[in-house]
Amino acid sequence: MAAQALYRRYRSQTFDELIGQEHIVQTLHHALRDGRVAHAYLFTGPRGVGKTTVARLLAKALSCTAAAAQRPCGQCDACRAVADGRAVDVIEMDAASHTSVEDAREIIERVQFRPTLGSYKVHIIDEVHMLSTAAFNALLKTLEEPPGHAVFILATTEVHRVPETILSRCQRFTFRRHSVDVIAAHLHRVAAAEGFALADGAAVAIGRAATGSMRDALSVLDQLMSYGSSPIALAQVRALLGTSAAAEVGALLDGLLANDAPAALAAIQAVVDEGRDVRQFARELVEQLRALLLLRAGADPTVLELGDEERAALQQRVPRLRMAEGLRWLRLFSELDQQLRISPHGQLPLEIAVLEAILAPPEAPAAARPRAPAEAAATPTLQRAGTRTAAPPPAAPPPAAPPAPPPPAAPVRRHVPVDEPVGRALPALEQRPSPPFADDLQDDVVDDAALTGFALLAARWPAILRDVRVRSKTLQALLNSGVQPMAVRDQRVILQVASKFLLTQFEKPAVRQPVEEIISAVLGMACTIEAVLGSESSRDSAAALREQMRDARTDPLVKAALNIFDADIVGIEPPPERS
Amino acid sequence: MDDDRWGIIGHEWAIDMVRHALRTERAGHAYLLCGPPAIGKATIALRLAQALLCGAAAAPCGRCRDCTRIAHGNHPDVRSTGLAEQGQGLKAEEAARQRDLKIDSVRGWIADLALQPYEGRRRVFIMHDAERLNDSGANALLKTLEEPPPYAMIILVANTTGDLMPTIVSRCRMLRLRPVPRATIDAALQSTGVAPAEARLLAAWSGGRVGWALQMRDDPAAWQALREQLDELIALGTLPRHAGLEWAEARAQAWRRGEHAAVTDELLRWQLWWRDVLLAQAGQGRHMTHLDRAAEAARAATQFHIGAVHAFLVRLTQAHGQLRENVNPQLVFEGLVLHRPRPH
Repeated sequence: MAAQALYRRYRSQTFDELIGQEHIVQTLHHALRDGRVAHAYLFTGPRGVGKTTVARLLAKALSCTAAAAQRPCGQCDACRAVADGRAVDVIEMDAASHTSVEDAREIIERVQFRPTLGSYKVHIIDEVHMLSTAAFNALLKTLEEPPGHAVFILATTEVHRVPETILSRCQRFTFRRHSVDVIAAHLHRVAAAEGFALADGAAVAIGRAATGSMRDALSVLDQLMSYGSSPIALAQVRALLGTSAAAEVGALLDGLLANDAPAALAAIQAVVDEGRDVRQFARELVEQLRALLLLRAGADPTVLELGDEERAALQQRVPRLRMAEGLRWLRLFSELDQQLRISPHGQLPLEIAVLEAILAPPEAPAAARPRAPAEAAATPTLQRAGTRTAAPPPAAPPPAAPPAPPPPAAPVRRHVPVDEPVGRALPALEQRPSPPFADDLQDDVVDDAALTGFALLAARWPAILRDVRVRSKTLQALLNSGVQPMAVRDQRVILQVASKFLLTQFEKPAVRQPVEEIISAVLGMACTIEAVLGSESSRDSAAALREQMRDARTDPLVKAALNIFDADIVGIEPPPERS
Repeated sequence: MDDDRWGIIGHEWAIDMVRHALRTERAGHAYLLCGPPAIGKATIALRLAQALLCGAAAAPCGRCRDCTRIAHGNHPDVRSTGLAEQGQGLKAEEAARQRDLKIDSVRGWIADLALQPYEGRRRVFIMHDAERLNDSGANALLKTLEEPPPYAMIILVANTTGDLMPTIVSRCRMLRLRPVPRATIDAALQSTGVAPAEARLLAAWSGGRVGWALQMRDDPAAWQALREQLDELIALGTLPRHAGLEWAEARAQAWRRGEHAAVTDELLRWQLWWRDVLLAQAGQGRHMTHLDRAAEAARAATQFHIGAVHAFLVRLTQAHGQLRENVNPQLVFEGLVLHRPRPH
């Protein structure tokens, strides 16, 4: 027979054994002691935090024959019967495979019968979110006023799928995730009880991968223990979880920081050759980038759960990171997870992202451009009205490099062995135009913090417009008629307005105050706004653009394209130079 | 099966882990095998079932009655379900179009779990395509998966874990299989008598998918067809626009006929080709997928701008997503053709 899984064998049998969730245990304990047990409980929380365990403990306590303070004792017949799953008065139902109203009716019928042994009859309905609407509704009356001997315990991970009418009839307990420390400590205890030892860092590594779920952590430990040798080494944990050593992530980070595409690609390939999980690797990269950014922003290193070595390695990289670039990377890489999940060729999305990070960003602030594929799909871009449709892809940076091979001494980067005939080094990497973000940074007018403030403002501008609309449509119309965010300095938000009229409008408190409030709320800091007059020409250029668009619409090619793609002209650009 | 690899190429750590667990009687009640397609998941599941039920000392022997019946899929104590089983009785094209593993399949399978073993000590329940479980199907599995009867071993086989509910994943021992290193496949192919040059090529093209490499080894016609497909894709870069649009139309029609796998594979092939070009541009040519086209890739590397190649790769990735999200296939393919990188 199979050995029972650890998470089943070490399911807590008394409240004292239970790990964490003190807020719930205490409440239940007092309720039991004072005899104030409610007739319906709802346990919610993420997976593996103890919902089913506490439900069974409560059932046990209600049938236990020991003194009130010691319940559940775990010793008496009633307790043992519940633990073995043979207690007649504790009915556990799997709502996910018994979803129908018939199943609910069966419960209702059986609730009427008195308990056979104890004084309570406990119904545990697990995965309750899967009950059908009819089943939920059938339960309503019974759940509101059950007979005195009945106690319902509902448990679910997805409380948002449970109707409000059910929620309001239950005492609701929300279970918390376990912290890494708590998990690690419990792992050590369990391992010791099983006659195993865990090497330094192994328990913490498992705990981190478990993301707060004790069952996940115990499953991993189970698997490691079934593999044998004690003590369980960190390397074994990594092999099982596919997590990469910090050094591997570090190699890629260094490649990114040095703008060295070959080194970065080689780092990814090394991970793949090792048979590591690329998705996990990308997640760790995001983790490290986040830590790096926080350190760069001056965060206290102790709040990051890092080992000493890791912190030292990061600290040494911090000065090389530019805040704006780090932010862009973080955004880029955190979107990867989904792509890596569906990509049949594991590392390709990561490689593409790394190259995108190193190549010059094609447009201005990353926040401003639509990145989600769905959005891209919904708006077939026809920005080049007036030119041929088959123009080079818009994301391509202008070919800045001359076609002639660069002189061999020119590149200052370290030499990378090239084993295939390449013909020339990477022109775009050698002589890439520095990204606009970096330009802002270099002229030292705005420091990092202000820049992130602006990136935030630019990204949330649509949200601000929306919020303003809720307050007053006139205000929104005002903002839409030529007001653009320009900069964030200290706590002043500078808006560029298109006309003198708007400038005077912004001096009125009736206009100024609500806008300030909304911007403050969205940015999360109190700020004042300052309107400055933009160049008058912007208005003229808008008119000129409209003129051009009108002309473009008469062009037969454009007309055809508009018809085929059911598109709109959103902008006009001069035809790109053909090289 | 006298070797201790169970006759499986690569995945040594996973096999070691399972073998050790079986030997020390610490095997779990539920395993989740996941990883890219054609990597060896189903084979491992099968071997695991054999190892559990085989009576020989060096289980699985691969020769006894139990082992052979399991390999043929008619052992009474091994019950599998999946899209293939669900599709039995459907017309071929309907079966190919199935998207979800439905709750009825799951219920039938769970109901069977309550039955004691017919012959041996254990019963093995294998669920293929577990990533296709729909919402209610997955939920119906939860309680059984947490505490199955002691004689049952459940093996879920899934292409990715991301599509599975975390509550399912956390109830299983997970073996996340990863692409097999190129050198391993190369050596394995050579040991079965494939010529070294051919083995190296197949290993490179396979992208770590053992099953794929073996399939191509056994089916030279398909292998040849693939290489011709790549020729066509490379040529597509220089064809005039109308020819490209015809190609797009043909692909869109194939997609509408339901040949999703073939079309996605072709897109992937194209993607890998441009990745090769990119690798050549970045001086990482030795990691190329299409090793036999190194010279062409190097030539392309000088002809195209790296930014354009990168942008097109992004576009190809987006096209994958768009097809999944039911965007009009003709528009997707035409968009691709119209945005081919242009040599400068």
